[in-house]
Amino acid sequence: MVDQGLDTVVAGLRCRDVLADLSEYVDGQLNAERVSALQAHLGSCDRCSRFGGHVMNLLHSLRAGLAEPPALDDGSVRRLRDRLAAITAPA
Amino acid sequence: MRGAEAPVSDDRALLRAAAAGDAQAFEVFMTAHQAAVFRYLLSTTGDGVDVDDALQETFIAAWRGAAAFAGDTTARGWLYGIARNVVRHQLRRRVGEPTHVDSVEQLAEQAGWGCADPAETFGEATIARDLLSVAMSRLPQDECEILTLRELDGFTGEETAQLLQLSLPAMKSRLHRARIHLAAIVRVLDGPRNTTATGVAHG
Repeated sequence: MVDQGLDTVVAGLRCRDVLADLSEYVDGQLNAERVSALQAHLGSCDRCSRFGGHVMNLLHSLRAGLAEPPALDDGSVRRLRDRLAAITAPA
Repeated sequence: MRGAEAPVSDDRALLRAAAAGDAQAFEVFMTAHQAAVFRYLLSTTGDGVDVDDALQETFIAAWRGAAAFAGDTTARGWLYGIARNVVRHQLRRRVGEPTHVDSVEQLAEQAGWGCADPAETFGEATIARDLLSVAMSRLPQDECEILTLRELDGFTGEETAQLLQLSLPAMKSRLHRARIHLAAIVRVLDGPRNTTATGVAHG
């Protein structure tokens, strides 16, 4: 393998092409043939494998850490309810 | 649980009741979604938008338009669509095609792809919540918005594309860019990580 950065070819795929497919790969959106090709690359390319792992970890951390929205402050809730009450009150 | 949505059937029943004038039902619907909608509004807005006001306008429009909810999408998706329109109206700007300077490949390199230092590996440790919050806030608006919808609120790819009025491929492209960009910002904020490397698996 000759190191040509993102144009390095491992297991028949360029790193550039693996990077382009990374999101769909982690989302399980690729067909079986493409998944096999990417897995062959990732199995032999330390840079892509580590980077992919980092992105997976990032997404996991994001979903686990920030999924629950922070509660609205009392003032926002009160203003929202007051505004709604004004338009839903019977005439 | 990703997102804090009420069950779809409950939302639809609540909207039907609201359309018939049941303000209490609408308040239940509003309470279930207000925090998530507020966060979504924050993700879509830059300077010049009062998020509190946008939140009020969103729910007022939802109340007034409850009868128009056709049920061809989820109630939550319908509500977010209203929120997005409120923001667009307030900003009076085109949403969807901002200019980006760096390519995804450049962002990946900034995020550490192919880093030459063998000691610089990526960590397995969960990335801190505060760090992620700051990183999200530094993303371009369109990227913060799509990550909020997909990763935090748990909308499907199809729902996200519909909300953002994008084709599915365009949505995927933006989502990919946003993820890599977030990784780049986290690396800048956190610095290189020096713990055990990990691999990637799909699905």
